[in-house]
Amino acid sequence: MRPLRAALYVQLAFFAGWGAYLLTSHQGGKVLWLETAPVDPRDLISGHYVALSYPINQPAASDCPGFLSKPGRVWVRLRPSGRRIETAEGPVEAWDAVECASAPRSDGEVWASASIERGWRNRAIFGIERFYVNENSPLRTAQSGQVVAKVSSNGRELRILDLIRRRP
Amino acid sequence: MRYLKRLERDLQAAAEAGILSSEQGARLARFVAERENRGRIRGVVWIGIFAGLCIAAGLSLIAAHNWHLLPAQLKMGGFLLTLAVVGWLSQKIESPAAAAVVLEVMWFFLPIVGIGLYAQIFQLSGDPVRPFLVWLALTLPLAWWSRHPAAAPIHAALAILVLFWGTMSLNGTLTLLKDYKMDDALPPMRNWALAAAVAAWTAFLGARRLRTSHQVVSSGALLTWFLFLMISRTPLQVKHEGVLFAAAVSLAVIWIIQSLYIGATDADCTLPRTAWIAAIYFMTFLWHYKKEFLPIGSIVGWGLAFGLAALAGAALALSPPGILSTDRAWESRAKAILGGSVAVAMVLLLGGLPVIHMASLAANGLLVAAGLGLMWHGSQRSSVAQINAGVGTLFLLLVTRFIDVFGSFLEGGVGFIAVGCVFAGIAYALQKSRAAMIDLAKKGAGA
Repeated sequence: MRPLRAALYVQLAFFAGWGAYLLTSHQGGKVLWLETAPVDPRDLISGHYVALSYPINQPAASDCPGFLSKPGRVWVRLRPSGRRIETAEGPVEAWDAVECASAPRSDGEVWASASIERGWRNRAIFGIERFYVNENSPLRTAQSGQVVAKVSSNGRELRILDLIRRRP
Repeated sequence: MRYLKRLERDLQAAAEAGILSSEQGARLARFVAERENRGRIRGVVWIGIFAGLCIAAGLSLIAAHNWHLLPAQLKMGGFLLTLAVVGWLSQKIESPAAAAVVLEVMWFFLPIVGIGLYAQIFQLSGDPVRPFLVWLALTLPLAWWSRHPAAAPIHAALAILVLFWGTMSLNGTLTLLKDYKMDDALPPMRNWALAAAVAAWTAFLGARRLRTSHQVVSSGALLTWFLFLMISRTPLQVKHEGVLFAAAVSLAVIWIIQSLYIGATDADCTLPRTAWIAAIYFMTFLWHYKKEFLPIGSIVGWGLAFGLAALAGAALALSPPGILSTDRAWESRAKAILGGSVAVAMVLLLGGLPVIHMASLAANGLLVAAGLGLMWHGSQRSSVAQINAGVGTLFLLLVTRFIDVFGSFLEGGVGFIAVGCVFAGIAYALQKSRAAMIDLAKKGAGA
């Protein structure tokens, strides 16, 4: 039946196109490190993951609360904080949110788009709040404050690359 | 095999007796043997199936154990190949029907598996409703053009689940909830448009692709969703018991008329009928109210109450003749009871205590009238479902009111015995009349 064949082509094109975008959109992206506070739930369709929250979810810069108080999107400027964290892969420098804006500026800085999640305390959600883990991964037992997130930025969105344990 | 051997022996005997020629007997035996063997899975095939399952299970286990070592491209390529093969086979294979349906269901679920897989590979997170909306969109043609009865009902059920979950969640593409901290911050228009589109599509799919009994359930779910929008913290929320009763009764009347309009049988109408009875039954408890309702206070409340009542009235007035009963007198009575229920619920908008108690008494009257009417009409029209619904309604009402009035007796042993005896008497009387009416109905049907 012709419409069903067309539907199959549309589905294949959708997944091929989306897959190609996901494979290429962070090539050559800038790598930054974020401190985390994880918990461990499970997703119905994608399996086990570590749920993450970051200090940048509640950006402390003076202009950010205004953006967080209303639904929609916000752009957040990220910058190295100068705070060094010891990890299993050596020392890394944590990044912080230093500014919020309704649109990014082309100033060579790292900007990331976030949506506002409503709740008792509204949060900026960057799409890096889950890290899916293999069933044998030691990260499944990760506890709050024990990991930092290695994140890639392509100038528009963030993507989480890895979780690394902090050294005490 | 034993049967074929016996058949061969019997045919040979028949040939020897001159009933048929030995050639005819042999052809008959071959014909039956071929038909018997068609569709039968031989032992060797069973072993083959078992071997295939073992290999597939082994491959799955190896893949699962080394999942984190597989490159993303391999996982994505494997998924695309599976989608292409299952989608292609689903269109090619028409028989056996079971295989065709299984393939179609697999094809239906593969897109959400793919979305989950991509999310896992690329660590994607965010709005939990959006993947399901994309799944709905991708499987929409499958639900519409499918030749099998599986895809459309699953798609409709999925759409309704997404509608309830998405619109009642605090966050997401479909949320219609207001902010807890900012009462005046309304959900964006895009969310309303999307929710309306999903609801409209579900109704349209139901009307065109679902069988009547499924369509009744689907319509009821959509009307219930609308009522939930009035109860939850959406811009349509109404904090007034009278408006909510008026809306519930009006929606139940609309559901009954719509179900009958699309040709639902008595059995199909059980759900809408029960919803209407439940709405009126809960209204009878307003007798215990000690305080009058607070003022409605918003134009939305008034608008929804009058709008839904007007729709229910229009459905009753404009429904084709013979829809509630082929007998004109009975149809008028049914319309009077349904219309009366909307009117009684609308009286609650006034909110004063005497009015609330009057409405509660009227609700009792409506239930008695509906129960008796269902029993009487059911016995005349040979409908056991209607008789049972009528008996059930009267029994529920009698028991509830008995506990209301004589509940204080239930403090001592003698009181319990007395109440038990009365209940037994009520049950006996109702069962006797139910049996008599069903007998009458069966005789009527036989004649």
